[in-house]
Amino acid sequence: MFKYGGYAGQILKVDLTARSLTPESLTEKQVRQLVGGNGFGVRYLYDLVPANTDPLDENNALIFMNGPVQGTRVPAVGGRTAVITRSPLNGFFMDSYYGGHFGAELKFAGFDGIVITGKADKPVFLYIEDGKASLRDAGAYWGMKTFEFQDKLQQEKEYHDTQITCIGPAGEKMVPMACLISGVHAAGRGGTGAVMGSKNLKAIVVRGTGGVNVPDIEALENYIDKLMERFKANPAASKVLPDYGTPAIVDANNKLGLLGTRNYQTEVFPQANMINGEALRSNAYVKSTSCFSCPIGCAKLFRMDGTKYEKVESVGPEYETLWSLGSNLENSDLASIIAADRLCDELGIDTISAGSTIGMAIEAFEKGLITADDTGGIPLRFGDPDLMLSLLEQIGTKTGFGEILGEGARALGRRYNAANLAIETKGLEIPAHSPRGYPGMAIGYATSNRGGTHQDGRPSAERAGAVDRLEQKGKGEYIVDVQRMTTMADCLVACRFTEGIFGATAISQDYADILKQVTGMEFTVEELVDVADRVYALERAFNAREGASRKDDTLPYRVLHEPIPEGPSKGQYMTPEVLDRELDQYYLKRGWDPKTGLPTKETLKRLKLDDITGSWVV
Amino acid sequence: MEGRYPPGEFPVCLHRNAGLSDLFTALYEKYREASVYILDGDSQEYLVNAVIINDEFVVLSKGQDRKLADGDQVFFILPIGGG
Repeated sequence: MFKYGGYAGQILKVDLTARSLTPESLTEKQVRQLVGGNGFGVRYLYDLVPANTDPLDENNALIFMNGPVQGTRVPAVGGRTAVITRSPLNGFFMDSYYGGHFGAELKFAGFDGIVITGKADKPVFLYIEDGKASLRDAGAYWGMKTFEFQDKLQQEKEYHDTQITCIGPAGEKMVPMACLISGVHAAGRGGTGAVMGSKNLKAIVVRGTGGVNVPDIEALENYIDKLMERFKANPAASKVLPDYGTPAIVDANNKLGLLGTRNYQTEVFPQANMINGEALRSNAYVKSTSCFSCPIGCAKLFRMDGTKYEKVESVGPEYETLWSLGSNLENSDLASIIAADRLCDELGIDTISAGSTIGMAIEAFEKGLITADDTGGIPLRFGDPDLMLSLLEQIGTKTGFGEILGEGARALGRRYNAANLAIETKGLEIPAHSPRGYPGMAIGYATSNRGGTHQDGRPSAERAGAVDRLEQKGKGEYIVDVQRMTTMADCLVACRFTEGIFGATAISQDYADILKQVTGMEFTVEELVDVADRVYALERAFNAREGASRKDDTLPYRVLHEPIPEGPSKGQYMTPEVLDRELDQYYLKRGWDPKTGLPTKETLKRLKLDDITGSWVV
Repeated sequence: MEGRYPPGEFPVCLHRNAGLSDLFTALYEKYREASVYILDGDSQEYLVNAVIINDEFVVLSKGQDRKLADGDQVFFILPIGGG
């Protein structure tokens, strides 16, 4: 048994080329320095993947990680999973996360994570059951959509009560924005599904009947009871999210004039009330569902009957999708958004990247940069849900103009001389939280190691009024603390909806308390800040090895040069000068070189990363 | 739909020179079930940090005594992030 509670104590290392499956023990150094989840993942990625490896080459690694808390009843943390790889969408470090039950099941099966390298010579799936693993033929399932595959497999007696993470046709065809699907949950960002497809790996299927060892179960149960009281007292966790889920954000952002519309050309969507939380709840709500051990139940099954679309039934759309396939495309047809959400899940594509890239293509078409000759004769226009569904199908099946769209906004900009229309950073499309209206979030987008994500930095405190949204000065330093919190949450693989309880702007004592209760390890908050800084520096080191530097910490042209043109937030944007000023402060607070945007030798030494070397280390 | 309180418009009459704090009280008294999103019934603590008055973003810690005029629309920003 591993020295500390919470951990299974071993990682499964899989070499698909050699068909070898080898458990590797965790070390005390690993858990003390990196805690788990993304922390474990980035270290494996840095050590295993040589510089300049093609993300779709067999030498790339696809890494699934738990933290110590998965499989326990600690609320909103117990079932989530981290996925880490080099992204085929942007070539940088990528971590993506999904809810459900997979993480807990993997822990019950005796593993803290899976590190996959190599490439199978034919389609396979990885089967794990109670400490044993095997590769099994997936030939009969190759080509199936995600829900069909999961249903078929679980109809077989041997697999009926398993947890599955799989790819759909988009992953098999290595579409750079392909995602992973587990049950109805998606690890959406950065093309993790394409990496899985490149390895001829259809799925990971897990069954576990074990448990999780903790130092003092009675003390943990008492601690969880107190935590649950705090969840109940929090309006987001106990009322808004259970009733409406994330679609509740549509109204707030639109009221603020910060709901991206027509590829962020404007940020007011007059038809927002047709796609908001109340519209969904009144017209399409069936029931709520929860991830493992989560009291919130933010996921909603929505269904609409009697519409022109097939399969208007989906767990989702989340807020991000209501933006990406709704206001961003000037689409107020709610049934079409539910149908599109379902289609994206079945094909296995990221709704954020897909919607953002389609929106950019439509704007480029309107401006004459893309023509019907490029699209196969299809005229692109906003406000056309049938066009949206057709393009999503093309992206997911890598056919027609969809093959180009599937490469993402940055590639589209390069191909059609339309880079100024791309709403992305580091090649990852920015989601639904306005970088012009939330300056802290904007610095988060600019500095995130994975690119345009609202998970490295958060918009919540600025939107809620806990932090001054209208003040740009100081947001560089501010976002370092927020990113430390998000990084620590990713080491625990905690849901972001804990931020209302554990704190939205910095690492709190709660993280140390959870670790103590579950693992028995004592950390101070200052020590956890060091862990978070170590993990973020490792991510940055991975990117530095691929040539990244300060030049990549930037924002879309539109954000830096085009003020919001109308509405309550009219005039807001971030000038290049402000971005530069805040980046300087950001790097100084992190102990990174402001000239390069990379950790200094001294900082690496302080973080016990002396082994990180390279010409960029000075 | 059991246990869920729909959003929407909740008209209230306030006395002349009423402020935001009066609005919270009036909403709690008139729409007690719906007010669970914005006010803790036991402690009377506000559960939101900011509102939008017409088109103006107002942080409660700075504008708790902000006066309201006849016809003002107040939108409560619920403290959640994106998933």
